Amino acid sequence: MKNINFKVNGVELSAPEGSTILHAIQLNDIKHVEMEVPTLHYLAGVKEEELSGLGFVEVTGREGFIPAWSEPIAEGMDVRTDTPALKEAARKALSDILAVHDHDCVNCVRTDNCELQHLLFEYKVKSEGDGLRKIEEIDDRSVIVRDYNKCIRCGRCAAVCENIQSVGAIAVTGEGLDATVGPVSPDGLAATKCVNCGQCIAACPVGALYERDNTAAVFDALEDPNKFVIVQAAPSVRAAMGEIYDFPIGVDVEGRLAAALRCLGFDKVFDTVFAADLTIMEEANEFIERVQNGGVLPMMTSCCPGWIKFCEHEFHDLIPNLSTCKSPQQMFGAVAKSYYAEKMGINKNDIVVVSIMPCTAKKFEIYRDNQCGAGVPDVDISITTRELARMLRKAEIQFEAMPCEDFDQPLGLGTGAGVIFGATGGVMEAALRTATEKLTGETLAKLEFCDVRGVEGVKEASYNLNGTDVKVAVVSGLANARALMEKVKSGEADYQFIEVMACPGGCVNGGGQPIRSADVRAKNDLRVKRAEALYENDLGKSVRKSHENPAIIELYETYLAAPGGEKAHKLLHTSYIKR
Amino acid sequence: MTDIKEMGKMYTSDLLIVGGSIAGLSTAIRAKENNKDLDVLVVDRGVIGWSGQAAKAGNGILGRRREQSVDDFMEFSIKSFGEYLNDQDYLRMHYSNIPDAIDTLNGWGVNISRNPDGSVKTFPLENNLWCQVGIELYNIKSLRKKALEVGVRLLSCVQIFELLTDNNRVIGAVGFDTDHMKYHIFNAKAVALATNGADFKKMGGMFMGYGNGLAAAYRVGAHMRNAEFSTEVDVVSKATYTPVYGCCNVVHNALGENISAKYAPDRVEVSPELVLGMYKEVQEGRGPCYADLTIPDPILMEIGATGHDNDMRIWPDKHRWVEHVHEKVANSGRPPLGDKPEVTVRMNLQAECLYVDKEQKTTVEGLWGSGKISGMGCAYIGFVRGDGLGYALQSGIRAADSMTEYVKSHNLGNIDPAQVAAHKEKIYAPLNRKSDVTPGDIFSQIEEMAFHIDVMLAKSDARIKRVLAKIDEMKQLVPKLTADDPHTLAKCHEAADSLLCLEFIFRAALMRKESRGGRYRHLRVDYPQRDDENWLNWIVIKQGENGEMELFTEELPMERYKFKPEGWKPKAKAE
Amino acid sequence: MVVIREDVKFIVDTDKCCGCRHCIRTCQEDVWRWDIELNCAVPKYAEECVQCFQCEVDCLGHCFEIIPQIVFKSDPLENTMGEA
Repeated sequence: MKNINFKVNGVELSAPEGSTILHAIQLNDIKHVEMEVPTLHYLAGVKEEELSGLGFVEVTGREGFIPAWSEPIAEGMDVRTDTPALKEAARKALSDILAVHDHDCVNCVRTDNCELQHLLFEYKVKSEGDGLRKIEEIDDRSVIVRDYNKCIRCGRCAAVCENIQSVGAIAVTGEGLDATVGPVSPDGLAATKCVNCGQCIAACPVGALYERDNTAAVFDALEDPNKFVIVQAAPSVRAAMGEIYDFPIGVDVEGRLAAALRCLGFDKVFDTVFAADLTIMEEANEFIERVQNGGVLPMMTSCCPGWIKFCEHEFHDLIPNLSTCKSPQQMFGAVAKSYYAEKMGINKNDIVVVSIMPCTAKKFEIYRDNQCGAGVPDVDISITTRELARMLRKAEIQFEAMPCEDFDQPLGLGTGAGVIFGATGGVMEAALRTATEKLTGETLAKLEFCDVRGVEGVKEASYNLNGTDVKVAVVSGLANARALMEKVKSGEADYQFIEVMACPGGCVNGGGQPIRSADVRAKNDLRVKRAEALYENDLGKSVRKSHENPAIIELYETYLAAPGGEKAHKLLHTSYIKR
Repeated sequence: MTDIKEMGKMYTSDLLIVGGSIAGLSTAIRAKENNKDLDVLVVDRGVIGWSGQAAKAGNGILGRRREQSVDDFMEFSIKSFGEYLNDQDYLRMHYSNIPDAIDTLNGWGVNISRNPDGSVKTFPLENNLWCQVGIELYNIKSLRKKALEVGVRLLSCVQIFELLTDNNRVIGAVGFDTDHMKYHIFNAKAVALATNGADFKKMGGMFMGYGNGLAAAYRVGAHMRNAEFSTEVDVVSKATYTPVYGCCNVVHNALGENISAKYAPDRVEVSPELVLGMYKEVQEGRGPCYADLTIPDPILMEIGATGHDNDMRIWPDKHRWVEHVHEKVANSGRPPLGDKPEVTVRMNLQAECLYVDKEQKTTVEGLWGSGKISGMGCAYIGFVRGDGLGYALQSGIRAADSMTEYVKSHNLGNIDPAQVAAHKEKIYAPLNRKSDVTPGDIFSQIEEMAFHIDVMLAKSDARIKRVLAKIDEMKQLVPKLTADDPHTLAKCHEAADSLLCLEFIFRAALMRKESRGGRYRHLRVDYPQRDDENWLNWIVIKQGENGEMELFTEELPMERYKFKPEGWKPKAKAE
Repeated sequence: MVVIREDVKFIVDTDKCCGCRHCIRTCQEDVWRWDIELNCAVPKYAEECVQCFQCEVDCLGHCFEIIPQIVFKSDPLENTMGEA
């Protein structure tokens, strides 16, 4: 693509032809604050317009303000972002927003990670008087909490819900700062088709959306001497947790994570990767059975509770296609409260299973029906990566000071196949590693199934497994999933196996992950960089195939018998409903 | 004996680095790059990424273009700053490595001035001999990111007060956290001190080292060197107390006479001569002095700037800060600087005397020094403006290389519980005392006593002895210091350690019976001349067997050195 | 909240503290501490301030002001120990 040369505040830069001014400046990753174009509505790929009164530049030779988010860059364009008129206009726009924003920043989960706060700081706009204080009730009826007092009506949440996820649970009514942004149902998000994916939280520039905080329950459990508190951490957490502490994006912090959880006082620190391997055993087995016995195809993965709820709302016909396997989170809990409890001689009622997830939908999943494999809830508390960071802060544990430690055994032993679950295509790849070897009886020469890697919304590939051609698809982002499912329904698509993840890019980009500003998201593809951390982790693991995980082998040999067997079925499989 | 783990929070690592600013983080990052499996722990009393002097120091770092001659650098530095007291081997190594070190820094993700092709961009300085490379104010924040990326452990808000030893080898350290005063015990195979030295003079944006690192090292037997080269002078605006850079040639007295030209012609830096000249003018009633910034400065003209508007190289982040400080001045009812600001001098006394060799090893096994703590102790004595960051960076790299090598063949030493307990008792003692002596008393007495031209700059036998007597008097207060919170408890030890460092400075100053040195000049009014016959020696300080301070001299290997003083010939030892 | 020391005066709008704690981490001299009861940062050891103003520059909420009282106590050019 041709590059265009242009100037910003006198500094010469270049960007690909066709870029908007805003994008062209973002691509250059300018360190000088004065060159940034302030925005609050714009979120690359989600909502590419700015109606806040910000986002303008001046261009020499042209009159008035030019909208940087829509105007394409032109050769030799002389852009100014720092004129007094622009600054004044930005200050005015920010003051107006501030007037409807509850600036109780000190108690806000987003303080210091708030796009509004940072712009107010840059433009030296101070709040006058007490500002807005709690006019409306906080809506906490869903796992996704909405604080209307903080909302700045940017509409990013509605845009991501509608455009990226095609869920449409949130809508904007009205215009400008008088608009209302919120659930389409007056009874809150819980009454809509919301799948709890949390992408709206990740998009919110301020603290108007956040997950229901369950950290107090975790502290209570930890303080209860009669409880044996077990924690599991999902693969994606290690790929993003560091960002909260200024690690560069995509640094794997597995060892520090294990150490930090131990510092918090958990009795055992385990790894969801173990359960991911278990999921593969069950799922690969289920798939092989369906293929061999003429079961319902294509089979669709069931690891993602956002996708499951979406399917239950939108594609009733396809419920039989869903794998009956529980998600790794739930499988972990079921095994912890049966196999592990018995092995250790601990009463299952005294065990509290806490999970650290990159996901808000996991909070919903633990309360689903048929998620009590051992007769008690599989998982007791599910918290997000962000909540864990909050817990560490409260407990005054410095994550940066943590040494590299290992997870406890046996439920902390995972393989590279389980680790890559966090990236879109990872479940498929892990399943293929196991299914291929099981079907062919031969050792794979190359473990990487690169066709299913990458952040494209839909990927497809075809593999010959012991003489049978298997056509697979991997999809992430629910709008992509909807399109694919329509094709499956119409018979246009002829896949045998489909992996679906609700969040674009998979769990690494989950709604429970550290929130990054629009600016950071424009300059970095979080999905790619975080996934790289997982693929690198996989490469470093000595065991990279789920069925070779010694702890899994032992689990089957001493307890479960066989994948898909009676005990496995009782503990590790579930059912779905029409919604 | 009590179990060590019951005495406090225990940490083990391969390397322990005390101090998390540029020197400490450079040491840590380099060590991880040498061997990614090393467990490297950095401890700092502040929040790592924002703490330390370098966190407020950006804008410029001394550079050398590869084609520039190292010999030219050395010759200038030796003649103008060290006056032949430099360790020329060290100096050559340091100057040779500047371009590589800055490339390393570039690779570590610190924002520095770059050409469009990504290479380091340099700006010429001072007759084209030196050059400077732009560096962001938040360089430590960038280094923090890099350190975390490569797997360094960063422990913030813990201050170290004592080192642990095992058979004269340093094997760890102890201190407490600044929030809850919990005792922290560290065990490591090798320890580096990157703590800064001790500074004396608050205010005007000066950041204080309190000598904890130096004092702890001294107590385990580390030697000190060149403590007498300690006084730094700046000409500052009377209104803001911030340096008026580049004004050293345009200081005038109240009569409008250029006193720079009168006392210190052709000096490129603020010299003691200029300060003494200003002092004389004021004492004789021709004050106050002012800097006439309307006169074009020849040095700045050399680099293409006009007048004194040399903001062309100021980075936005630093500019924001500088602008803010100026704004404060305007708001606090004082006039803005203007063209002819009244000026005075700001003196800073600093002890940076940890004796280190070319690998940054101290004289004690298992202990290294990097950064300012060893700025004079390494005997490079070539500090020019902007090389503080460079020295910290390079010394960190050198220390890391040496430490990585050392830990290959050394295991964790054994911690002696009795030692840990004794340190604990000593460190927490002020909490249990009843008296009205606070650390603030000692600091204000130091300030009252020391900040005079005739104490800090124009020294004499009688004046130094008077200072030492006063130090002895103040030392009597140390066993009476009291505290009731972590901040004050830390201050108690800072006061005691500062006093010790002050004693290093003045004992060494008493011994050196000559005047020598450039920017950190040792000036004796009773021995105003440089005495190459007797004083081409370093003064070394160590703790004697009975705890008393012992001073001795070490002769420079001048016959090996390329640059020799005029008329120098090999001869018998001095004194 | 107003904290006055010999050298410096801090005027802190405790209601506006946003909890970013930038002042605490940026201060080299341990001036700022978090006050749990007031739920805001306070200049607990204001007397240690060296007037670099970095905390003021970094404060996300622009919620305090530092006013220098004395820049330096005595001019070294005017003072002397008085003897040779």
